[in-house]
Amino acid sequence: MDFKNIFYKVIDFATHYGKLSYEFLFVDEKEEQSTVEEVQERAEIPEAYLQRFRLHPLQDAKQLEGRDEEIAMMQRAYENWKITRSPLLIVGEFGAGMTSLLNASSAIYPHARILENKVNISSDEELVNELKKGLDYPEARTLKDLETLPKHEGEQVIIFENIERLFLRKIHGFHLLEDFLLLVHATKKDIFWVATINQYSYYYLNQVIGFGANFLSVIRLQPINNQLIEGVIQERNKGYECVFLKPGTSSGTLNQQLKNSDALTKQGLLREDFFNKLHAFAGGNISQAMLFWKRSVAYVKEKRVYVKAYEPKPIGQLTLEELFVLEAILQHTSLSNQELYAILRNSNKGSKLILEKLMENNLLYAKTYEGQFEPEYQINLLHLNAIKAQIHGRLNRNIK
Amino acid sequence: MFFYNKKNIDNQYSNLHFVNWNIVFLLMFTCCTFQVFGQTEPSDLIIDSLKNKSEQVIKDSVVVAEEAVKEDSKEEEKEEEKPVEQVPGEVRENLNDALDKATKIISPAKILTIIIASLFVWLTTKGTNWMYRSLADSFNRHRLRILRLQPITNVILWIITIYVLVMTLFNPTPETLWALMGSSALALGFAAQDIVKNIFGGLLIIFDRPFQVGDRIDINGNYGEVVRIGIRNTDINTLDDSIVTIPNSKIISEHISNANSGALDCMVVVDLWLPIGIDVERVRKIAFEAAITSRYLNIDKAVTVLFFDHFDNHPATNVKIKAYVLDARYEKGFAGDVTEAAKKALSEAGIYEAVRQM
Repeated sequence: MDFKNIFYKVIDFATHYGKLSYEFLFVDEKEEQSTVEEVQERAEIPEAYLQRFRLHPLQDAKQLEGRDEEIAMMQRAYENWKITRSPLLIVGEFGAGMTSLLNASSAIYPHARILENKVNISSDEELVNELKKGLDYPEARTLKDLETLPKHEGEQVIIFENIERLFLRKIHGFHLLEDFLLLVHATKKDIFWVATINQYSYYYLNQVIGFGANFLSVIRLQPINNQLIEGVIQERNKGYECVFLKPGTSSGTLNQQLKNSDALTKQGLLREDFFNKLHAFAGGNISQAMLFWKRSVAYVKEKRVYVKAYEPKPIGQLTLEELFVLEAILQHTSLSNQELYAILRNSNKGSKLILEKLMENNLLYAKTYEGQFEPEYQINLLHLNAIKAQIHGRLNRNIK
Repeated sequence: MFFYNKKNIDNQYSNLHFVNWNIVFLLMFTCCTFQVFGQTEPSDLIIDSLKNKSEQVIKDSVVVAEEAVKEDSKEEEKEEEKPVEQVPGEVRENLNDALDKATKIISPAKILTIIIASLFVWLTTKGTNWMYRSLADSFNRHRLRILRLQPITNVILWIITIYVLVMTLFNPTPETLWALMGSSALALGFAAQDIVKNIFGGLLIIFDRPFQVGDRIDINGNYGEVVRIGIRNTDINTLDDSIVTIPNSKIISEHISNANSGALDCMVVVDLWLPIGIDVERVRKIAFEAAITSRYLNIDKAVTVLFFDHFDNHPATNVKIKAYVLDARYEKGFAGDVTEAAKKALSEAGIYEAVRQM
């Protein structure tokens, strides 16, 4: 490393940590602004454009990218089941594209039935109702009935999504999950069970009740390759030209490089800087990458998208109670106030107050599903990394 | 007249004695100061020269006294009333010489330097302690690793300061250092043995590490978190938030029970007392789930439930739930949470009712 680089590193450090103005030291700010394209008028972002980045599971296997290895593993697990008769578990991060993967698995499991569980299941009746639909056994009234279901012609594949919906972290809150696992073991000879779970629930259940031992095959969704993520973003931007603006906070090295470059090179540098920040934020999570992009779009004008790297606001030091609430929600994917109250064993009003505070800070969002009166609270993916970091650091949980 | 003369002689003698003892004390003080703070010349030579000088002074004093007696007898004969006022020039010179040397060694500038340096180091240790605490707050996961550096840094800072001050201000020779150590040991042995015991105890605790800052220890019934290990005392923050200061000399001679031994988590044993004849299977499930659902649980370590029957005055079953808490600070929170949840669930499950009906 030559002296010049070391010098810029020192300046970067000072500007970042010492709150020292780089412009004050070396560069005229007005001169810098002229180095990037600026548009005075701020136009609203058209809905049609935002729709392109809406988070929704893919329905078509052809659209799914970067999951070839997982698809191959699912195929192998199915082949293994024919010999070992053991169920499959898929573990993934929020927004990692688990549902898209399951939808895409129709190519290898053409007759699979997907039981999607968006809300927590709290009673035997609810579970039986859910299962009898999937198992096509409307006469069943209890789980015992389902264990003795008439033999189906051909091999059956049942995909049970979000198995974490079957437990609640409270005394007597595990029996549904245990009953379901017993059903899986009782019927695994005839049914290839595929269950999915989020990685926080898996970590918890595995540690306290040895949940993972029930599955011989476990597939962990890996982060998606950075180039693939860039490719997906480019694909969704088809028809628009992207113009990268100078970020709010940029390193001294970047400023210096921009100062001495022509317009085309500047765009290249800004693009590279933008995607570095996007990948650092998303960490291979496609949903987080899409959110980052959406948040970064400054304005759209005449088929030109002006992008300025999103800078997440620090969430600050959360209280211990807030961290416990967030951890509980991570472990269950989403929770209602009543469920949270049962988990934390504090007062109903107390948990509601904490939820309201977390909502105000934009760490949670509420969603009311069909047939539900109470909203379910979920983690805002934009702050997932910061929340995980605090849970890891302050609650000493081995989640990363 | 005789009495007068006798008195006169006594006065002269007493004056001489006064002068002599003062000089002797001054010389001894100078000698000690040289021993303590050293000098540029070899100390033995100085001590020898001082001894010679003091012997010379005593000889001179004896000669002066004898002359005074002789002159007194002459005066008696001649009935002269004039007293002798002879102070030998060498004594004054020696006195001045000794005083000069003493002021060279302990000058006001040096004393001021020592005070300022000590103040600076004291402030530095306060600053580093604050820095360690802030770091520990920011990196809770590595809290204990950070805090255990605190006492070591303080001791090292003080040792370096003392060494630098002594070497730069007094530059003692090795012989002087040995002499200093010998005389200090003697003095401290008699006068300040408790303080010395505490200091050595503190050094032992810091370097032998039977416990560290952040550990939860029990000494003589004082249970709590070690918040400070000082050179003389150790501070423990008890569960009722009182700071108990224990002299280090006491600590090293006592049995110490350490709950976490440098680890962030610690085992907590929750005791439930239930009637004899409970449904063990149901109670086990409830007790286990009370522990695994607690927010304070360290989920990376196993939970154990044990049963012990007691047949003393009141027969009872002691249910012990052994689990690790995620941070030793929350041990009581965990115990309370598990006890409360378990009792509520046991009551709802009708465990107590079932036993009463038996």
